[in-house]
Amino acid sequence: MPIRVHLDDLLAEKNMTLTQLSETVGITMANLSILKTGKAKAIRFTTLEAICQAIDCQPGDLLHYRRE
Amino acid sequence: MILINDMVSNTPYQPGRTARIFDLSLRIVTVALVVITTIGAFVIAISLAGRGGSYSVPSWLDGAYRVEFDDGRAIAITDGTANTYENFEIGRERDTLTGTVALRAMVEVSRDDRDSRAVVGVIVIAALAATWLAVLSLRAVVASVIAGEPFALANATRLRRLAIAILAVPVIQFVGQQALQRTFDPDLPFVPEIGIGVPSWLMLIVGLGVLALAEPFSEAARLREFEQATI
Repeated sequence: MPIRVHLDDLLAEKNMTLTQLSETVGITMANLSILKTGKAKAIRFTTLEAICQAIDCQPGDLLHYRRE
Repeated sequence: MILINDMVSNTPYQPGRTARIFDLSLRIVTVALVVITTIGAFVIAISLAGRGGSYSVPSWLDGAYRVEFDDGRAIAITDGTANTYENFEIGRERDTLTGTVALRAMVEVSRDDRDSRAVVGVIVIAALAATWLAVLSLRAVVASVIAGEPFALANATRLRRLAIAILAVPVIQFVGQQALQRTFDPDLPFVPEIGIGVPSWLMLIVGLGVLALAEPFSEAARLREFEQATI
């Protein structure tokens, strides 16, 4: 998939763990793992909004398009 | 703390009473089918071994084979073959142009030869195979509904199998009829009646309907898979 999710980088930048993010935004660890590993097929605006709010970033910081 | 409301209810799926009754009915049908298959296999084996005696096929005496009669009570068909005819149900048809009365009769054609037995055996095996395919496919679909997973890709395949089984019935009927007719004297216009009492056009419509139903199931399964991978 040409869309890359940079959740790991952002979490490291903010000194936050996946567990903390999970507790903050109310998304299960399983779903966050799917998102982190790039296995997600779609992301809801509500999820994107919650993650961006929790780690204080822009959607563009989280998602990157790379031509394959 | 930010919480995202679940868009899908987390309440466990509770199968409806209809699904359970349907499942129970299919279980009973399966048991009956096991009995019928066992008896059928036994009868076919005995018949092909040449020990089953003669059997009778209800057939329509139709078409060009016309017998004119004057009193309308006693009909004798002598065709010089080894076929024997019993249980006449005679219908008279008057040709309005010539004024002649033609015979249309339901006749039990009794046969006692290996070719006919083999044909009947193949017809029975094909019919049983189609019935098994239909029942097993339907049971799997109902089981998935009870399990709360009706929109699985496997169900689309099962529905296609069910459609094939339904569409196979008129095909088996037609091919079987033609094959059986050829084992009779080809000069005699006897048309074997081997249907299940449901018109072929209705089976075709139902079969094509189930085949069409498989497509939305396939699409729903794809959407569900997409939904499950949506965060």
